[in-house]
Amino acid sequence: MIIVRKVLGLATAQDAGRVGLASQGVPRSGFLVRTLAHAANAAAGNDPDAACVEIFGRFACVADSEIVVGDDRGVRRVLRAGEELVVDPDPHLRVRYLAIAGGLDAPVFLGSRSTLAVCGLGREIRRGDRLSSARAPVRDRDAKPKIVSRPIRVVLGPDEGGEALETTAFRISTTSDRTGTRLEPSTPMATSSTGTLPSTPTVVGAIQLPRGGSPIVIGPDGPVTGGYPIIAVIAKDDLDAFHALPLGAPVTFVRALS
Amino acid sequence: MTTFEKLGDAALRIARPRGTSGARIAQAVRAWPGVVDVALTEAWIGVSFEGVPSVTPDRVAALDGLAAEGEGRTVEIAVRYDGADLADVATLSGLEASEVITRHTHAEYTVLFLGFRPGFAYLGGLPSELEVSRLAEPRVTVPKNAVAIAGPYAGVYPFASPGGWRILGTAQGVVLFDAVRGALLRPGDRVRFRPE
Repeated sequence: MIIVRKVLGLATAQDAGRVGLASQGVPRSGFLVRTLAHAANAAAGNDPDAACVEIFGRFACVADSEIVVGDDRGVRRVLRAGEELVVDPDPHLRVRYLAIAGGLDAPVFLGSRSTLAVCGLGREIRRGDRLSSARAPVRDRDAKPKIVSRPIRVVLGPDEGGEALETTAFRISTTSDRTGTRLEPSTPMATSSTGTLPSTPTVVGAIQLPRGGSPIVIGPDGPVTGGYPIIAVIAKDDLDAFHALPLGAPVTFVRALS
Repeated sequence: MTTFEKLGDAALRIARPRGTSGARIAQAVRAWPGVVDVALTEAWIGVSFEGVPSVTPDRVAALDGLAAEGEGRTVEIAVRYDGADLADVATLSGLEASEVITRHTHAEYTVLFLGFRPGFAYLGGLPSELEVSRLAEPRVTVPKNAVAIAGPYAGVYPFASPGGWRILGTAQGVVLFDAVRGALLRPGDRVRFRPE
């Protein structure tokens, strides 16, 4: 077991999320950056989609008995009783992961251990919490995180206005969170003057354009429906690269070849 | 003819045939090969796929023939009409507050879709004289179980959350979203409000 000493920022339990409940209004939740979570789990010997601790900021804990952990860099560590571990923010990454061998034993709600605190599906991890292993079988696994930095590919549409994504420079806003990543354009994007559209289904990676001209990218905890036009959707294979970008980082988009 | 378009490279957005039951649509679409999730709105169906989205035109066309009625239940929700916007809704609609309550409770609603928050059902069937605009400035916090209306919809907030709908009252003794059972209201269900 590990005991949480400090959380500066946000730490939650996340796994692959709860898929299949969108018609009840339930978002997928789950890892913001799957590749990094998979690396942490592999380092701890876990299934790729085992629950682990997702960390925005700094996280410090102490082991109260011997326990094996892994992080998103693929580093495996054996913590002895009383040994401390600090996960520091990485200036090149928005989020980090800490896995416990056997998987993090967070409560399962609707088929997933992913926290969605605003809806009572678990709560954020706090100082003093005792995190234990779910005791799933472990084995040696290859742990090599692969985050490739490049322009983020998008599929334009289904609504109008996405072409300008290719010619606009953006930064990741510091007001971003797991519900959505806000993009700060160098100049506001032109928005449709046709007024509000009927509510549309969203997906993780959908780029909404509110009337203010600053796009919002739907995150794993984002609403499953929305009233803003969806001008493009980030390609599935580039979601990790996008969500790994630290707050304040520049980002550019290119049209995906289809 | 129902049309569909790409919603990224792992999902499709399909025009929802007017007047079809959300329950029947969700059931039909979930049975398509490769489908992992279905999101509904009044105008659209969002279909997420495991791999590359693919659906035959005849499957999409078959949605047109689905019934308006689902096999939904009828859920009765008791309401204390103590909402902060009741007086404003009366003014906007030109009705007495008591008449707003009467018309709100005498309607039968259908769950068209859920969105915004888990368990938040967009209810169709609001009498047209109660159609009012959203608040110009959304509230930072709408209380849990607030019974509210906006545009053609009625709804109940499952959690305290930001929101711009006009609040008529408070639902009594219901849990709209449960961490174990999920959403109380499902597409196709019918809803009645009863004054408490």
